[in-house]
Amino acid sequence: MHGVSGRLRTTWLGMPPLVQEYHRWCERQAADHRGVTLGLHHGITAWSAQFLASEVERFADERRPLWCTAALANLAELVFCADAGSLNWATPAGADPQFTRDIEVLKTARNVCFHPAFNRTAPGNTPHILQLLDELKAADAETARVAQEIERGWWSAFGRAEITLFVLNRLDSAGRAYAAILRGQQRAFLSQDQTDALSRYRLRRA
Amino acid sequence: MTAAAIPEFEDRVSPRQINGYWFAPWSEKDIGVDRPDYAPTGAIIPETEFERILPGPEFQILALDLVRVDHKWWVLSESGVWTYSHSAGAFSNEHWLFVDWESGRKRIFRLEAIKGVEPARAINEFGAEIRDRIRLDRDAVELVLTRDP
Repeated sequence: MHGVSGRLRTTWLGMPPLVQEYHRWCERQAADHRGVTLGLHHGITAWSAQFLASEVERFADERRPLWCTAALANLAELVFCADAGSLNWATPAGADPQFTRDIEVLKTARNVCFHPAFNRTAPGNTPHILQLLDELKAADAETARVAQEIERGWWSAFGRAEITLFVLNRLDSAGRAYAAILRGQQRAFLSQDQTDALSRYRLRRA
Repeated sequence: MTAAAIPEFEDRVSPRQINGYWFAPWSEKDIGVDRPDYAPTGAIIPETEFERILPGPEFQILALDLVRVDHKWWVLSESGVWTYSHSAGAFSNEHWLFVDWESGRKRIFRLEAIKGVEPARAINEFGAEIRDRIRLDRDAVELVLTRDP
């Protein structure tokens, strides 16, 4: 699906041990917020990171981009709101500006997916899909073309595979950074080696 | 909309800057003869004057990678490599295409790899004018490109 399936394998969603670790971490956060013992409560969240990651892969393989995007947005909310145990997304002090921006984009993509009736265009009350336009236009040529279609009024273009890849990239970037942030806060759920594998860019210096 | 009416065409970090569009390798057939009618999605600052860049896979050039944030161009840092398809794709052996029409005709550059470069070195090699548009706390992203004939 326009590179989504292939890209998926290189993201943290394509690394089963790391998905499992995020899964466990989300469950542990949920148990703490509810004041229950994790070992006694299986299926503690309505959605699990492991299930959503497998759904992302399934929808990608089945070439169902809108559902793939929705699963990504749901997974993003689960992972980045787990710490607060509410609707509040992670805003760690001193976080890299790129992480903060990725989170804002994911939050907006979540709103597009799960507040589908929002159509009002009053000043200061811009529909979420239009809030995404600037970021979509700055992504790549194909995504910018989809943004142009959305801008011209064809909002169903949000269901295209280019949007899925766009959201996947943001979730990958934020998920890698978040693992390092939690490690830095000594709240790590991954080993140092796993964190390094995620967060180091391995850019060979010129 | 004319090119001049699009702010991204007017914002220039460097006189050597080339504005263009990133295309996925699977979208090569969709690259038209003419420039798209929307704002550029990418920009590069090549290490050398464009006229000196020779086509062919045997000639590689280095270029600084610029991304658009809030309608301005900024040097991509290592913090953003997974955010953008062309740089993230470089880790998956995807060769994204940077296409520009600034000379009046289409030119295609193929992304072969990405590298990190210390900010101070980037400023030294690509010009002091990039100082206000580069993060000093992270390596910048340098592109290894070849130019299609």
